[in-house]
Amino acid sequence: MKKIFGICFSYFAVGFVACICISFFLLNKSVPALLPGKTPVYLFLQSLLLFFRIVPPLLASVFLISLAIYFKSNSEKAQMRFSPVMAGHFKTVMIVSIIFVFIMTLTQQVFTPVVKRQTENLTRAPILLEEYITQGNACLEEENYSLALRYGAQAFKINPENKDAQTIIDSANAVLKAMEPSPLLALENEKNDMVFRAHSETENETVTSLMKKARAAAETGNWLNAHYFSELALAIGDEKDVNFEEAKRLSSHAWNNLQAAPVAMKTKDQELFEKKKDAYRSLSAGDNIDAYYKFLEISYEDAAWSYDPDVKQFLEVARARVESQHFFIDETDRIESFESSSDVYFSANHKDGNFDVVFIRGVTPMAQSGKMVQYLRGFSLYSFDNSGNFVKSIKVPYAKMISYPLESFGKEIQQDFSFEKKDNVPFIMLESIDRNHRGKIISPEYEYSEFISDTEKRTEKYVILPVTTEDFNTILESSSESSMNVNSLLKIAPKADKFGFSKEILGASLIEKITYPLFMMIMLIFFASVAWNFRLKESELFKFIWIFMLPVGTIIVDFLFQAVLAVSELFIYVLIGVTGNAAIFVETGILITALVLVSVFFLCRKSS
Amino acid sequence: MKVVFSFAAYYFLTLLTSLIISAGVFMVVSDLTLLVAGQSLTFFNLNFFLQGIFYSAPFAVFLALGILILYSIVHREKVILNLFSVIFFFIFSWLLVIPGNFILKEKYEQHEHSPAGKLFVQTGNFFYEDGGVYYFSKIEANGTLDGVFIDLTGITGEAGTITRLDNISLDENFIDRYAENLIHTSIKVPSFLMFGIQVYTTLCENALAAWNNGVLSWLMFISFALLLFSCSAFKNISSWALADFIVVATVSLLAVLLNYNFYDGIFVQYADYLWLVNSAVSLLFIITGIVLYQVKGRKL
Repeated sequence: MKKIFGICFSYFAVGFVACICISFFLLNKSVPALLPGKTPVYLFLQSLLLFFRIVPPLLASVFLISLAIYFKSNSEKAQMRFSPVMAGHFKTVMIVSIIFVFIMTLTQQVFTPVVKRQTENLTRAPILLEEYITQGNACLEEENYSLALRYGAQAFKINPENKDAQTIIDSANAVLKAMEPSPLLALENEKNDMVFRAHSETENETVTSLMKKARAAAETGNWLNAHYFSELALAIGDEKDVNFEEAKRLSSHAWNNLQAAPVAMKTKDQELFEKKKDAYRSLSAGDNIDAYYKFLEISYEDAAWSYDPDVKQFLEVARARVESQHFFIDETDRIESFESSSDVYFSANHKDGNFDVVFIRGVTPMAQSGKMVQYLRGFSLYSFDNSGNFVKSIKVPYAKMISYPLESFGKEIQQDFSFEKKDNVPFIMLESIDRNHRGKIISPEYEYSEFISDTEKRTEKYVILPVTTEDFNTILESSSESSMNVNSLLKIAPKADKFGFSKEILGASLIEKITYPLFMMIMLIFFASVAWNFRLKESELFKFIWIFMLPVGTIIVDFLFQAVLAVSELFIYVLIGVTGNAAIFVETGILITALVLVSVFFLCRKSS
Repeated sequence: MKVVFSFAAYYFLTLLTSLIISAGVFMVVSDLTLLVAGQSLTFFNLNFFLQGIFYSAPFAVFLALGILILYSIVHREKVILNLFSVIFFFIFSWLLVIPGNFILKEKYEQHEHSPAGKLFVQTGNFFYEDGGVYYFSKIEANGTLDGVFIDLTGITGEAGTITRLDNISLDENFIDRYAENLIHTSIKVPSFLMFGIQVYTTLCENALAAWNNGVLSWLMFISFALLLFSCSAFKNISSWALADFIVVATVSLLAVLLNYNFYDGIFVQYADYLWLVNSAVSLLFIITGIVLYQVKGRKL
């Protein structure tokens, strides 16, 4: 057996060296633009890809020839079929085959995608770098220094030696350090540290703890806070709660005190108080956007006012509440170049049989405070009823998607979905407002079928897609790569038709990948029989000129493999059409039978 | 006698098996033109199968003759008998089987046969066509369709727009493209295979044309067969059977490529002289074969 491995390893090494030579001497004419110094790495990766491509025929052809040499000894002992000599040979054949098939599968299905991705990163790097620098400079011009700094930092990460990146970083830092920190600036810097606070306002609180805070505020005359905390207590408690009655009383008492403030006095403080009260009223009434802008305007009007603890606190609260249902227009500035998927489309069925067709032009993922958030560019949703009639459509230039567990929504909403409570679903916000100034608002466009009456037309500002976040991400993956890895395929192939994709195509791809090792095993054992039939005679020595059979043999084997794999793919396709989801088991069954047959064929070889 | 019997057995066995498999593949590919995503597929279709047989007969013959040559390499003992058997089956194939195939094919095509089947568009899945993606949500009673069209390449004027389809009707063209579309998106044929099929189809077409042009032109075409036969001259080139087989196979493939280039490649302008080239090269190979046999000698 050592001899077999010796021969195989030498040819393997020769093949690898050949690929490197081809890559460095032939392919170096067509290298795309790369970062300085990366060309050798790129060429090496290309040689790896080339090598991985030829590994299966390489191994198969050298397997055949080395076995033909190996079988020459003791061959006349195999007088009868199923002789012990053949059994011994079969053991060798099996061991070598398994190792070779393992190498083949590894290179085809694991290493190749990894190397391909590395290559893509290399080719993308200079493009990204240029994009970051352009955006960074544009931000500097617009005096948006914090954003400029972020772009500069990203550019720096790609290529630390890039002078433009360094310039951007330095310029931005210089300005930022010189500016006086103000609460408003702190707000700007927190742009991307959003936290979904609608829940967290009451996250660690109970009715009792909230009431304690409310009472404490009432004692110091801070009626704003007294009302706020007692209202929160009312929101999370229910009638049976011990403190419920007290909360109601305190809340209305605080409100009365707020209303009763004297109007005549016009000191600065009282002006502030009036404005705060007005803004708080909006907040209390649920008009979060109005409250947000009002508090913002208070802090703009007077620098001293922006330090007021109430203003700071309630601006935060208002902002958090606004952000639970809206996002800011500037969040979507300049993120188009960082899209991870584009032209995503799928259909999704609701529990009641209606279905939606969703199309998204581009998806940009971002990490915000530990959560993954996705910005959807060019979001369109077409709804149809269960007979296929058009109902309505929603289109918006940018939408923001956050993933929440189903249980965080109200019972009414939960009932519309057939998922588990703990499943995450995509919550998509459709409306965006200006962060700093009232007035600009981007709303979705609605279109309705003529059969919908005016009263039925609803213009909700958010949408919850009837798919789990996991499925959504798998669909995104399948749009960005033309060939998916086995994991994603496994997840999506069984339900492909639910999303409007062809189960046959995805399923065939999946079955092919899974059965590849079995398939190659069958080929190798068949080659072992061929090797036996063509074995060298006992006395024959290997002539040097026969070495040239190897490359020719590799080419012929490659043709054979490609033809057989193509036909097998066709067959799998038909199998799926005929047997549906059971196709994988049928195919595996067929292959195992073939393996047994081919092994028996080998074992009954004899010296004729 | 036993040898001749084995020859015959291998020839017909290979012919039959490769005919069935190739015809099967052809039938499946044609089946897929009727495949509508999600619906169960009818596997066997007689018309497609017959078409498959006629299409792939020459290929089956090529394989069968190849197996015969392989057999004569492996069992080299009865030299003269081997030689005559191979020659016999070559003549049998090229003067009987392949022309027979042409005649039967014509007869079949003149018959009226029922249309392959009806294809109808299905609702509920995406398919890529016309630079965008169609999704049909409903087929109305009068046959028109509702749905949406997602423009991915700007064909409707602006890429990225999605337009509603309301009561549009399908034309014949569309259905054909729909069928083709399914096959193209599903079956990724490797480029070498496409080339191989192209070579094969070109050669078959020219063979048919030659046969229809009269006996003389058919005999001129058969110089190709002579060339293929003469490639087996290399079977004595080495003392190792495997090496012999690889050499013969490679030379045969090169011969095929050579002939292809006269019909549709670099040598197109010399197409008339193909039979001359074939005959000359065959003569060369045959002489080489005799020399090799004398030099290497088939000593048992």
